Amino acid sequence: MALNLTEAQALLWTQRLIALALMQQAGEFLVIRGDFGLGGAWSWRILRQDFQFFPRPMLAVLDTILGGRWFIGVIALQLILGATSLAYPRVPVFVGLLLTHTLICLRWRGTFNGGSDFMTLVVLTALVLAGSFGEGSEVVRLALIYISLHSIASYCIAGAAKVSSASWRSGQALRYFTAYVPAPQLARLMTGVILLFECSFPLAVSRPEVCVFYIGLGLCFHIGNAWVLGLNRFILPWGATYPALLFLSQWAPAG
Amino acid sequence: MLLPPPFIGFQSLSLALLCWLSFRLLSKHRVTPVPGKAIFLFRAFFPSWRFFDKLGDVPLLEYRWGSDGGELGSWTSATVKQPRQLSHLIFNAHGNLLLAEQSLLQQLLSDLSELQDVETPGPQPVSVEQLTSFSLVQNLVLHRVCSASLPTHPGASSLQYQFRLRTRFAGDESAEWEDVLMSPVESTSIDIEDRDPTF
Repeated sequence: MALNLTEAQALLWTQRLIALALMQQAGEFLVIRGDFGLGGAWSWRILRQDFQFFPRPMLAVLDTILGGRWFIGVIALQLILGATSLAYPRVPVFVGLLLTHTLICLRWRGTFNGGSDFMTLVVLTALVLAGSFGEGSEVVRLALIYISLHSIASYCIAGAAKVSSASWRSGQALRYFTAYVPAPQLARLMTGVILLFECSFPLAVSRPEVCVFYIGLGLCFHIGNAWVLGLNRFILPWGATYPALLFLSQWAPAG
Repeated sequence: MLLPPPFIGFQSLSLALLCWLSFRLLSKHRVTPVPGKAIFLFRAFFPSWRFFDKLGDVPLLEYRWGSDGGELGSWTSATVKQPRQLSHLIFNAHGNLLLAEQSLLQQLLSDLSELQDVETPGPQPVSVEQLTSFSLVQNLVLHRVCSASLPTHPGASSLQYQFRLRTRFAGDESAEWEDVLMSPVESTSIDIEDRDPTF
């Protein structure tokens, strides 16, 4: 299979997909703003207990940014920067997105949605570094490798952790997490397929056609998780790692 | 046919990753929790890719309420599930908030467990009430009570409520729920504006 995804194209698609992820996250936060607002359940008045170790001047800044209406401004800024980066994928825009995403994670005691926040940060960090050194720099390739490694590790480690769990090996865990697989034998079979997919993910970068196959499986996996477990926020951040994987799968020696 | 060096290099890297994963699985070394409040708040920078790796205790938050001086009603789950829709594949704000609330309950369970573990290093809060996770859960219950009381007690300025945190092993639906935390009955004065918290 002849693929010709250049480094620049891989970077551009990574930028677009993570921008969409950040816009999605910001949009969702705006819908639930009442829950972390001035009278909301996730009150900053309570959360700031965790921030007492910060120096007083920094705590005062956090009180302003995270405690009041300015926080809505942070979310709105993330939405605007995300949209801006689709047309103008420049380093300052991604630095801004890294900042807004970090502030939002802090506001939710470290992370709002766990894995999707982790991968969003991985991709954003890589994009800021890549953009700082400019197109054509070795750092761009290293950034794509960094993203790919984390993508592969996320599947592998998750798969390996499940393999070591008796409840997963027996199919019991899958039957618990989803009501759609009542038969034990079917649960065991589906569990086997999931574990095989996750644990064999490093093969994705062996050849481009294999990578496309794994990307297809990955999309099905994440869409399935979004439907069954409500993990819709995982689709786009992991999707943002796929251009890097595809690029790496076709990597030819220099010269 | 000789493989190009970068291809070999990356395959070697994959093999090394596989060996490392195997070592971690076979190793008796227990995963050490990351210490410190600072690292806890910045843990998004230290990704953990262990998702749904095993069945464990599932938390359940329940509350009951009544008018001040009256009887408390029956226990109600604080988890408000919503029916699945196709649009949730793209946009699922309330579903993700629910997941965050479940994570908060898991965090409270973990904090309670640390309080009971005298070997955990570092300064510890004196009481459960000093835990941030407990205060957040209490506030969450307060908001549920406000919402629940609005249809029947719209003008009430004072209510009483109680909540409990229960757990049960995820893989055994026939098991009984075990009470982990039971709050005292609290009275609270409700500001009319607090009934509909908006930004």
